[in-house]
Amino acid sequence: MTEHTYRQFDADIDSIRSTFTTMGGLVERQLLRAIDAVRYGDLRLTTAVLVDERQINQMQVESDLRCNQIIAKRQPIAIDLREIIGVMHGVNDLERIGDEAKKIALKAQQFVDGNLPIPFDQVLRMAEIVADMLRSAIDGFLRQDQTAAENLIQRDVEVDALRDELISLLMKRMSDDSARVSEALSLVFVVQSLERVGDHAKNIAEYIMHVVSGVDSRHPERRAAAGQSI
Amino acid sequence: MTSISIDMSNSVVSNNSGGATAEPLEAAIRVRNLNFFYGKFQGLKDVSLDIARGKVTAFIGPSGCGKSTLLRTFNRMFDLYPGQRAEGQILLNGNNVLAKEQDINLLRAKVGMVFQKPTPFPMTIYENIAFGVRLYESLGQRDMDDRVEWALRKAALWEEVKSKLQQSGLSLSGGQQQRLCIARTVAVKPEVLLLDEPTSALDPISTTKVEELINELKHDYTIAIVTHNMQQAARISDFTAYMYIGELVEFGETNQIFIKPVKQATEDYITGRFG
Repeated sequence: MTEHTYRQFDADIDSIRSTFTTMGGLVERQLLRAIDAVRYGDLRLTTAVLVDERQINQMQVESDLRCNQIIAKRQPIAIDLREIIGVMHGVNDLERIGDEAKKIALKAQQFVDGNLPIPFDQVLRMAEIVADMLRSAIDGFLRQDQTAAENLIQRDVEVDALRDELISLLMKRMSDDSARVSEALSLVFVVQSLERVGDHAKNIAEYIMHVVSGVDSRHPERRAAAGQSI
Repeated sequence: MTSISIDMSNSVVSNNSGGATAEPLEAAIRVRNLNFFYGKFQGLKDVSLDIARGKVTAFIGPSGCGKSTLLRTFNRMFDLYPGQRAEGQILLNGNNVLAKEQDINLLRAKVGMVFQKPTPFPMTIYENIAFGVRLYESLGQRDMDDRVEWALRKAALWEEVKSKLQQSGLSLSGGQQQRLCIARTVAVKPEVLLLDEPTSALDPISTTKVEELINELKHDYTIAIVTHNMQQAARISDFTAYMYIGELVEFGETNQIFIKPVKQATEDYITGRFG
């Protein structure tokens, strides 16, 4: 896309993109640390996640302020307006991912002695998938890549299936061994948090589609109406 | 060449609260294959579009793109200047206003015009309104008084000037003068109002008042407005036409043009990526 005649407008847009990218990287690191905190029962990682969360919250406030200033000063329209709104929505989703990471990290207290109720590899796999979805979402937003967004929305189906599988496994563990109910329940919450992270990444994918096509495809029936197969 | 006609029977136009209503639209003016020449220079190239009745249509584009040229064909203002000519059709109620037999005075009563610089006559406020009416109608004093009041009320100016109708129109502020010009135009009961950058010489408050007035007037008149102010076009118009070097590049509902225009050239212009 060509540059604005007002170069400062491009600089303004670049600044909010930069914040979005930085925040996305921070949130991804936070998420992976949180999962490792649970896996290894490492409370130092929990502390690191909580420190990151404060920074993420601050970045959300700064990003919203910046977006408001751009809207007031530049009165953006068309693709510029859609992108700024996309950033505002996306930053909210990133902040929520940060909240989910915090919830996961706090569960590590239960596993300090390493007493995970089920093998962790599937939980780890789910975490890697949603982390990859998050990376794809951030990258896709910056490149305004509608194809990447469509692919990402499809991957959420895989995440939902994994969640169902893991919760089923954990429920069985709880019924088989009542002594492990507390740990298993904690892992249920971890799995649900990961599933919500996937939802937030999917939301960002939907914002990408709105930026590129101007079509609001946040719900399956709207995607169907827009002729999208996802 | 770009020839664009909106199927007026199925157009969806947003209402003031942001929703959309499907309402059948009628074309007040149909432009077909219009070419315009300033001597040898071609100012308009094969322009075709419909101006919807009872709606505001905004014309945007860079300087020299033909917006004002197009507007001035609707009431044959170009007739005043030798060497300027139009070819094609401009149909007002089915009649081609470019036809030789067209009564120009009658046309200009039906299609009124307001210019960028307020142009009140050097007369009293009352006479500014009455003068034009007398050209077309013979009204008694009481009827004329009523018409003057009606026109000034239509222009949202009556309350501000009712106690000083015998003062000169030139004594009014810029914004008031522009509303006086609008009152003068509506006094002869036109069908169409042509507004050529009507607020570009006004302060922000006066601009807001004129925009609000346009919003009211469109219930009774078809309005075509040329503006350099993109936000104004987005605020007050129902349809927007983007022009470039004499051609109509894109024409559509304003909500659609300013959210997701079809043509990249349109998006580049409205987002300030032009040039």
